[in-house]
Amino acid sequence: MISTTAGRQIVQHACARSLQSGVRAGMTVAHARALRGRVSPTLIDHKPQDDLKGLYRLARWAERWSPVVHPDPPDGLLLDISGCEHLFGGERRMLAKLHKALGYLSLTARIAAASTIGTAWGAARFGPSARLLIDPGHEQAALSPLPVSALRLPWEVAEGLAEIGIHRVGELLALPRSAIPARYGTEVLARIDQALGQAPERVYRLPEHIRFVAVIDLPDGTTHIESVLAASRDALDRLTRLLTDRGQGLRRLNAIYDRIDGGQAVLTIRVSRATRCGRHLWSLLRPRLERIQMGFGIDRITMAAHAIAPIAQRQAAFVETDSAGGSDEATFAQVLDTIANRIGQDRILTPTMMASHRPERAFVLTASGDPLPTPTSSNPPALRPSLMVDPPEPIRITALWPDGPVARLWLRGIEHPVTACIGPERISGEWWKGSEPLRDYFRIQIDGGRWLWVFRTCGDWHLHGEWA
Amino acid sequence: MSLSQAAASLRDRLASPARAEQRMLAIWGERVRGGGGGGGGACVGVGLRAGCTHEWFGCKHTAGSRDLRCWSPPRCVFVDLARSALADGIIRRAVWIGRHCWPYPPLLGRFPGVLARSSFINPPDAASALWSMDVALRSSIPVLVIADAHGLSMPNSRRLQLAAASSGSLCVLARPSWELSELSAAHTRWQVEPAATSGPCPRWTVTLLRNKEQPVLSSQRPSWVVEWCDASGVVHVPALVAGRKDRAA
Repeated sequence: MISTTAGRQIVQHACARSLQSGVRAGMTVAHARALRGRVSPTLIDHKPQDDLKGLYRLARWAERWSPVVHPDPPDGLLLDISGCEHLFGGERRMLAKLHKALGYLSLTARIAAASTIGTAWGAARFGPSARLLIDPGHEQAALSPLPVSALRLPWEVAEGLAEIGIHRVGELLALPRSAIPARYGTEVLARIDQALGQAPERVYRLPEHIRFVAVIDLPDGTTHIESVLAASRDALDRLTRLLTDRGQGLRRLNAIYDRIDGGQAVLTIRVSRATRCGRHLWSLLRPRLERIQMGFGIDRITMAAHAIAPIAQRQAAFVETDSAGGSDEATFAQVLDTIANRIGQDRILTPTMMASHRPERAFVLTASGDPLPTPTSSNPPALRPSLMVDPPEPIRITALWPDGPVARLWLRGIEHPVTACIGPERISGEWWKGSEPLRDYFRIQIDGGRWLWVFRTCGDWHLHGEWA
Repeated sequence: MSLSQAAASLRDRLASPARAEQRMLAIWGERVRGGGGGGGGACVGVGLRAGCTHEWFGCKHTAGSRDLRCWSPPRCVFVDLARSALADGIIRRAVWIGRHCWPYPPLLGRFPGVLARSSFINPPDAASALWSMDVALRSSIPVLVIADAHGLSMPNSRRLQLAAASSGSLCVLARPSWELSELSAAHTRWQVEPAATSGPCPRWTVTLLRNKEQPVLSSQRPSWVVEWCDASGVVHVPALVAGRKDRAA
């Protein structure tokens, strides 16, 4: 796996065969090719974010070995196995089983178990074998022959120590303790103390992963729409109860209908703000259910909530009405959701002011359900028309003299005499977006009293707006 | 009365708070109140009643053509209506339906809270536009629906009128001037045409064509000249013109 930095291709990870050939992370691809000789290596782009996702997935998988698992990016996992080892026949057997299970996943792993996180971390990465069990009280003995990097020290500290001939942890431990912080910072002592169990350190577990799903099985399937509607409503109620219990709301609902013939129909409902209102979700889902293809029958209904977000708890109303207890925003969001689910999310737009001199960039329209950008301007410019022509429409202009007042205008092939002309208002381009020419804007009144907003750029004239 | 009956009664009352209360949105301030030409009543032609539909006919630019590009909805007037409706508290949200009637959004941003409470809807066809108007008007909170309603038929006009009446919402429909002869169930009908001016601000002539509360004769239709104020971003009646109209009346 390679990455490209400043035009150079650098090896990030290598397979076992390449490692045997001498390829190492950090060397250039040209160097690695030379080491592999006639065998042409397969190069894959390194994507750190995908690695991180994979590591979190692996952490979820490792929760079967211990409830307290935490990823240690970029390539490690920390497991607190206190009280778990007896379930697998002791620590040694547990390590063997874990190593074997990772092998089934085609993962090459080095595992170490110790009383402290620091010792286990260093032994796993720099220890003499791929599977190490360090007995309590033997941490210093286990770490002493290892390089100082085994103490999780920054590379600049490790290099500084190497300059004075300190390469091993044992050599570092032999130094006077009081002299270390002044030269290499307090982190070195903290890491030593953590590794030797003289300073506390703990593994934090991953946040609880809850799947908000409600499933209803229909034995032998059904093709009756009434049954499907009733079961769907029941599943939706179960899902909203789950969300209520956890204080959460959903922004996307997937209603999955499994058919007897193996087919599947998926209805997706999106809402503009997190909700757990069963009535609102049902009002969006039900019209679409009537058009569902049931084939030979539906035997399973699954309601899955996605894009989960917390919702503040509120006091229930004594008399429930359509808007009871909800704010105007919440009530109106339901109206927009109803419209969006019929005509499309991208057809419901919310404007936000942005800081730009260019009239066409002074605002952005955000589709319903998308996160709104942060407004960067609260001072809209004056003298802007009510209609903006997008894109600007080419027009022809006759001036009394070059760069002088506009006398006549041809718009869509029709000639209009100009009765008033005010300007110019010069609007420059945004230099950080490339070379944009200047625009000179004029307000002109044509026959009949219409006021137009036109601009001249590079000798061409365009209609950009109108006070309509 | 049992508890369930009492709850049902209370639910009905809570569900339709606006139905019992018909409110009037005054437009262009008190100067216009006295500016009516032939109505005589203080409210004739000077307000938009909530819970009704109001049609505004824009001007046609190109003779003979009925292309969408050849007529302009009175957007400046609509921006001013949205501003005053949201400021008065009669209306809680503004919905602009149909790209053809959308104003330039930064114009709404000049007034606090107006842009944040505005939503733009771009329906793909006339049927979706009509349905969107209907759904928005039947919202449980009063909304201002400003929509491009060219080609609106009489039954659909009645449908929107009923939807607006059911919720107390205000419905403003933009229509081209060549549809002036079409039948409609709108409460009021207005026509807006550009007016030539020697000053630097755009002006329009606004004519009240129909008012169901107090019918006006075609020969005595009240009209006003209104002006766009660049500094404040509002439409108002120029003092001189207003005075002249008052004297004429």
